[in-house]
Order: sequence, then C-alpha cells, then structure tokens
Amino acid sequence: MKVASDISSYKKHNSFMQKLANIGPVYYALFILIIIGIISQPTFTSVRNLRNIIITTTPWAIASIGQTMVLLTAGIDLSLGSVISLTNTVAALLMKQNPEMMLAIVALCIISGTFVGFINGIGIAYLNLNPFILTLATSVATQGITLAIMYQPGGLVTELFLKVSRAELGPIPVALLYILFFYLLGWFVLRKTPFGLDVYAVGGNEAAARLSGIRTKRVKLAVYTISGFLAALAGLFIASRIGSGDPLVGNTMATDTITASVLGGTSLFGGVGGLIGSLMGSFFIGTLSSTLNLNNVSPYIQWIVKGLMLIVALALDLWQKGNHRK
Amino acid sequence: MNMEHDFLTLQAISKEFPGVRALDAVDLKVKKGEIRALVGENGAGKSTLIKILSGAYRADSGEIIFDGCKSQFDDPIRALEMGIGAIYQEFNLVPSLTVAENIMLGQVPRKGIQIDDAKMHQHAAEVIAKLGLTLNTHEKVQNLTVAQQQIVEIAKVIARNLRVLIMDEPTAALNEVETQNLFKVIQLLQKQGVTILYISHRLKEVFEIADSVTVLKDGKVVDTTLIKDISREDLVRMMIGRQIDDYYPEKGGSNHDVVLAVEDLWYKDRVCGVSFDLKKGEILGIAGLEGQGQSELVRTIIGLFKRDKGKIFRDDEEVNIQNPIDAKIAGIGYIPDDRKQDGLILVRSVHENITLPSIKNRKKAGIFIDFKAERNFVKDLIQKLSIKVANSFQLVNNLSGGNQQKVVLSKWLGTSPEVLIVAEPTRGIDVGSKKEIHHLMRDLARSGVGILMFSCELPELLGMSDRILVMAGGKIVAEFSGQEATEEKIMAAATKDVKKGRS
Repeated sequence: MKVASDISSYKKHNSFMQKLANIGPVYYALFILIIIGIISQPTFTSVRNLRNIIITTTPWAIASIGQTMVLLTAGIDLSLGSVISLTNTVAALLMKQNPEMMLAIVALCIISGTFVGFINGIGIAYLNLNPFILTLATSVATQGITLAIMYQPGGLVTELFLKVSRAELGPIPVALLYILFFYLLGWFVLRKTPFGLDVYAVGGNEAAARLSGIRTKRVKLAVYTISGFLAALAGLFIASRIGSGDPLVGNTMATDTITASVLGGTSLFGGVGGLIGSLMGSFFIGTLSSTLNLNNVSPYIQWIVKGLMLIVALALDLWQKGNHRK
Repeated sequence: MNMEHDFLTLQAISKEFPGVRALDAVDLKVKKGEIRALVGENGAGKSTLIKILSGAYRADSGEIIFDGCKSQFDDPIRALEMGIGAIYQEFNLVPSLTVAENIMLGQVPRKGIQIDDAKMHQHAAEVIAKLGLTLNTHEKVQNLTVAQQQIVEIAKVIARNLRVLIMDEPTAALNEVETQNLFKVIQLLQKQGVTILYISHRLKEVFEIADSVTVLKDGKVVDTTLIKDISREDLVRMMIGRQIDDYYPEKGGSNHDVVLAVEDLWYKDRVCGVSFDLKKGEILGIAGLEGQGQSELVRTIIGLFKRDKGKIFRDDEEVNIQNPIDAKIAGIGYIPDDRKQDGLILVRSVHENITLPSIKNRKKAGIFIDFKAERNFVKDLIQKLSIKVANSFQLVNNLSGGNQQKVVLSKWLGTSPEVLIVAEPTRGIDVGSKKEIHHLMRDLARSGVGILMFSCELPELLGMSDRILVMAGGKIVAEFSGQEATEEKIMAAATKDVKKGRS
C-alpha cells in the first residue's frame, strides 16, 4: 500500500545523522568543557576533583528533573531557586537551634518546598494563571520569606546531616547514587508509565490531550508539585554540602535548571525532550561552575556566563524547532 | 439492527457565541445503530452541535438524553466515559508522540504501573489494520502526511469501543480507496450497534453511507428524513434554502491587462513551479483538494513564506516581494483564510481594525492620527459594505462571522489595492452575508481590481470565478474558463494525480 512506502522513506530520513543532531548540543558542549578542563588543569581527572564535580552537580541534577517535567508540559518553574534557598536556610537555622530534631526539620523542609510547588500547580492548572508570572511571583514571595527568616548566611547543620552529601561507598560518593536513583526513577516515570505519556501529551498538544480524556489539570498540578519537592531536596543537599544556610544560595538555580534542560534537548515549547539530556546539562553546569570556582572566577562573572549560556540554549531550542517544522 | 427506541435525543439545544446564535433550539433523535448524516452549509451549526455532544462545549440551554438518562457532558472525559467520542475537523494529535501513543492516548494498556508497550503497539496496529492500512506505529505523528494523520485520528476514535461515534469531515484528506476502507469500518461498527453521526460536505458520501440525514441551516434543523426518501437536488435545496442559480452575482468581463503575473514560483515541496497571470477585473479561482498548496501559494506571493525561486510581476513590472509589507506597497491586499487568527485583532474595535493597514495615508502634520478623517473613512466603509455594528467602537470579537469578514475586507479596501488575494472568502459565515460578500467581490472586480481566490467550496469557486486553475501536489494541473468548468471536470483534474500534502 502507498501509505506504507511513504513511511519507509521517512524512516531513512531518521538516520544516524539526524539522531546525532537530535541528541542535543549538550554532549558536544560537555565534551569540549572536559577537554578544556583536562588541558588547563592537570588535576582535572583526579579522584578528588571528579568527586567534587559530582557533589557540586547533584543539586542541579536533582532540581533539573522537576524543571524538565514542567517544561515538558510547556510550563516553566522560576520558583525552584527560591525553594532551594528556603529549605537550605530553614534546615541550617533550625538544626543549629534544635540539633536533636533533625528528622523533623528535614520533613518540614520537604513539606514546605512541596507546598510551594503545589501552590504553583493549583494556580496554573486550575486558575489558568500564566506559569511564567505565577512562578515568578511565588519565587519573589518565597525569597522574601527566606530573607525574613535569616537575612545573611548562618546556621549550622548536624554532624550526621553533613554525611548526607559527603558519605562515600568505597571510591564512589553517595551523591552519585542519589543522582542515579532519581534519574532512573524519573526516566521510568516519564518513559514507562501512563503518567509520563500524559506529561508529553499535555505539552505536545494540550487540546488533543484533553479531548483524549487525559486529566490535563491533574498532570500539571503533579509536575509543579514534583518540581517543588525535588527543589526542597536540592536545598537540603546544599545545606549538607556547605554545612550552613545561605538565603541566596538558590539565586541562579531556576535559570541554571532551564539551561540544563534546554541544552539537553527539552523544548521550551513543550512535548519534546527528556531526562538524559537534562542530566548531561546538569553535569555541564556543574563542571563549568566547579572549574570556574577552582580558577577563582568571581561569582558575578559566573552570573554573566550563566545568563549567556541560557540565551545560547534558547537560540538552539528555537533553531531545532524550526528544523522540525522544516 | 435495534432501531425501536431513540438512543440519543437532543431537546431544544441552544448555544450562543458573542454576536452569533450558533444553535437555536435544535432537536435531534437518533436510534441505536443508525448512521445519521448531518449536513448544512458552513456556519449552519454542525460543528457546534457535535462539540456540545462530545463535551467540548456546553450548551446554553436544552437537554441531552442518552440511553434513557438525562446527561450533560461538562467535559470530553465525561463524554468518553459515557461512550461518546468525536473526530474533529482540526487534527487533535500530539505531533511529538508516536502513532501508537496517539491512538492509545488516555487509555494506554498497563502492565502493573508500567505502560505495556508491546500491547500498545499491537493494539494500535490492529486498529489500523481494521482500516485496511498499514502504518508504522513507532513513527512520530509529525513525520506523517496529512492523509496518514487523518487515519491516525480515525484509528484513535475507533480504538475506544464507543457507543456513539461522531465524525466531522473524516474524509477531507483521504483518497477514494481510503474513503472506501473507512466506510467498510463504519458499516462494521454499525453492525456492532455503534451509532454514528456523520458530517460531510460531500453529498455523494452522505448518500453512500448514511441511513438518514438531518439538514441544519443557520443553527436550526430544517428537516430530518430517511436517505432513501430524498433526492440529491432536494437535499441541496434544503441546505441552501433557495435555487442555486440566483445565488451568485453575474460574471463580468475582464480585459487583457495583466495586473499580477507569477512565473515559476517555488516554495519548498509545497509550491512547485507555479506560473499564471491575473487580469484586470478578473476573478481567478484556484481549485483543488484541500492542502494541495493553494494556501502556501498565496502566502508565498505576498511574502509571508520566502519563495525559493520565481518571479512576481505587477503591471508588467517585476516586484521583489520579501514580506507582506512589500506586498502592500505593491498594491496587493490579502484576506487570509483564518480571519480570527490572521485577519483581525479581535480585542480591538471595528474602527481600529479597519484603519490599521492604511492609517499612514491619513496623517496630520506628518505624525499625528487625523481622527476626523479616520472616522469618516471608517463610516464610509461601514456603510459601503453594510457592516452591522452598533457603532464603530464595538469590539470585533462581538461581531458575527459575516460581519467580521466584512471588516477584514474593508480594512484592505481602505488601502485601495489593485490586486486582492482572498483565501476562503466565506468560510463559516451565514448565507446572507455570503451573498453580500460575493457581490462585493464582483463589484470590486468590475471596478478593475484583479482578484485571486481559493476556496474549498467548489460551488463557490464555480459561481464566482471567470477562470479556474486546478492545483494538485503544488502544481497547476488544469485550467478552465468560467463557462466550461463544472464540478465533475474540476474534481477529475484535482484527483487525477494526487500527491498527498504534508503538514
């Protein structure tokens, strides 16, 4: 039949070269970055540096999972950076005051971060608020709460809590296991469960998803809530890593996670992309950040770099969309 | 076949959109296992009716009684649960997902908490096979041709084991063989007791597949009758409510001056070497099946799409049109097919919409808007086109389709174009306004404007055009004079060598 032969000719189009182009520029970027790292620093491949990169990357990697899921529904979460600051600050402050209540404090942080995500989800899914503006608003509010709680770096986490980020299993930092765990879980949810398909469908064509009987509002509520939850974990991880709280620690995290996701091939237009690219994107940002830190590049310069990176990522996204349309 | 009781009853369903009464106390009774055709002109209310049935819209008043229970479908999920599903005219597919995922969306088979991938693809392939076709279920929908997408759309609904299946123009992108396969499936479903509401402009299909037919006109039911009790001519008469002969304005003679010439125009694989010329005072129609490059052709001419190759001449002088601004400067006006999306700024007033393309012609002291001149300008056009508005500051959003279309027309008339390109001049507007717009177009042509139009309504093209070009697969495959053109000749030329369009 004619239809069948049409398809087979399309198949050829989807060849190796196209796959290579579809992988996303993040692999090339990461590759180049690693080469630069190896050339500029003899210690780049040392176990200590690699471990450092992994630990630096972990919060980005975890928060990027949520951001990617939100982006896949054609939404955006600008508030996750503030959530990271909030849980980081609250954890360090309260642990200093009540070290014996560590578990309760962790639970409190997780609940409050998830709650911010839940609020985002309710507003976007059920009140039809614009994701960009709403999450910007909750971001400002959450940042305000954080600064009201503690306006400058301080607090102290417990000895035991420090181990959360610093523990090792033989040569492997436990942080790598967190990353693997969450990415495997996230990948499974997105690629293997009906919920994951719904996420892609909502972002790919919301009207079609709705008419197919998918509860699109619930899907949106879920992704924002998940994003808040994972941001809370990322904030806790940072508290464990630096041992204290910093009310502005999550400042660039929202843009960073967007850069990581989009560089990794997730489209801002929704429906296209996935977690493997986001993991690579997170490692790219983590490696870049730790390399710049080691070379004593000022954080302000780093902001400039991050801003430019996001612009590049956006341009690539637009370019790829154009390519798809042909 | 179980025909004894009314399976689905609609009572006094009304639905109003700002400025338009889309449905006015519509009653409809359908029996179980019946294939009911719904016919009517564009804007008769068919699409609104089925959207209410499938839960996409909510009726303002009236009742739906389905299988003996009073039902109100607030959303498509509820309607699907009750067993009512629809294939809509607009494609409702997720382009980034695969064929199988689209077909099974919302009801994917599970294996524990996982999607059962093998089962999903198998099931999807089975449904497609039912349609007598093969498609790679792993292919992404965005890589399919329009016809293939249509098949996926149909498969998606068939996969749901529904009790009522609503099909809105399901054959629009299908060829004869594919259409016949679809009919086989419809008959199979009927045997299984599925009730089918079939909407089509193609009356031939209605007579072929339907048991009975309901005619809608201007949001009201004209009549319902068994298909065997009615002739094609009577059905047409019921649909338009008058004889077809006095429907279109008398054709005028064009002269020999060429106002627009296109030479070997190419745009990607959609417009393949098109050449033609348009004479002063002529209405030139472009016919063809939907999606054969008509819309891309006019968009390429006005510079909305960047042409790969080809020349455009205005009054024998080559013009280099790179964007719609150049086209406007060259005296070419463009009335787009999707007036809400491309033709109007819905949330602004009639006044602002009309003055938009020509506001620079009436400046005061070089930079200021001359409000007095503007008001007179708008007033004249509103009068000339008899646009029904409370006042010129009414929002365009609140006008009926016919009046909206007149606003689009007047905004371009205001630029005094010498060439007017009109895409789907009367899509979705009522019969009265349709007639007025046809007369307006003819008057314009008489005054010397060259008009290039395309429409998927063949009768409209035949009624309006002095000359007709037929497009298929991005090429012009035939040309007829207004006198020699008939529906049969055009369809024969249009379907002879159909290369399926791509989205």
